[in-house]
Amino acid sequence: MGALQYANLNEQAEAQGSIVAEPLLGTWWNTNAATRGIAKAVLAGETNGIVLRIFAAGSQQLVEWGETAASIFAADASAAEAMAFSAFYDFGFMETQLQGHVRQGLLIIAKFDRFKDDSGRSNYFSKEFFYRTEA
Amino acid sequence: MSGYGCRRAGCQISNASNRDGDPEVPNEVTWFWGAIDIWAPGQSCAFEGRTSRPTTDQGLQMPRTSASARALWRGGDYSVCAGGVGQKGGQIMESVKCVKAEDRVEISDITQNGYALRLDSLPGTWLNTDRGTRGIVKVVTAVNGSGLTVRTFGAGDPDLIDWGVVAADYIYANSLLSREAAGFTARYHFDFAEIHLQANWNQGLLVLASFTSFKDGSNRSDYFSRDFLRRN
Repeated sequence: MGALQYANLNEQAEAQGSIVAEPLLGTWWNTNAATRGIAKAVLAGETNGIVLRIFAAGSQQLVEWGETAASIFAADASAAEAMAFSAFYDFGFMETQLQGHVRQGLLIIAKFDRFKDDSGRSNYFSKEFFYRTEA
Repeated sequence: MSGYGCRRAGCQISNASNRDGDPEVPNEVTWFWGAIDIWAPGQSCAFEGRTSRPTTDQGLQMPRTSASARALWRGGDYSVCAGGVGQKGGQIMESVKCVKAEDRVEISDITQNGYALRLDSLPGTWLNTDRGTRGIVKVVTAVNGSGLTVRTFGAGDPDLIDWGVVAADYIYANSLLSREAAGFTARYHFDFAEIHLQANWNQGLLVLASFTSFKDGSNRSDYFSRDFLRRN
């Protein structure tokens, strides 16, 4: 095998193989109980990979977005434990790119929402914090 | 049919067609969340494999079991109602769709001055606040029409590694009513890896998240990094 290609010096790393997903898995609740955004995120390991389910704030009850595949990421190219994920939802009238990472026991989820319905709403970025509950 | 009412909250109709008078073509309504009420006197209404018969005085309460759902029925007059959004005869009334409460706004709250965002906060040369970083050292962003270009430099030895210029995929504000750009996403496609950049501008800093996925069979772990860059 030839020399490794890299885009920065961090990538001159010794390979570890597959990433262990467990540090990300579980049910994560928003630290802000009054959020009008994402109330709960559930990350689960399935046979086909990692699956994300989002429950958003609704006027009377949580709004389930359904399942979507999540890609997981380690802290660096030689790390073996997952600490971040990215996922994507397309609702037709809008799409949402989610990126989450764990820091000091909190899951920080950044949302990049893009509207496609000509409603005049701006595409926007937001960020929320989540704690994990026991399974 | 006389009148209609809104009894269901938490649901947004995205599409409806009124085929009244043409019994061969089904009426259709699609909605994104919550439940809806449908009044369609005497007509059978199929919903995700089940058939129910709404009545004139009660309406059919249609639950939602997935991210979106669709109901079909044939013939007759009808009325559909959901989440404060009323619809009759296929005309959507004051509706913006959303999947979380924070995205629900009144139409009048939306500035009708075009959808383009002001880009003043994003262009420039941004340097990593960590001088010793072995990751992303510098990002140069520039306005290109209504878009943004991104040029990224990674740490190298002895020189920086120029990733080249890409167009930002999308530009974002920091709220749905704001017209001020505060973030962007962009992607780099290298032979050995894909790198997805997600940036937001916060308190004078550009916070840059990068997701690197290797595709060269090296078994290196896909990884996430987050850097803080200040304007030069």
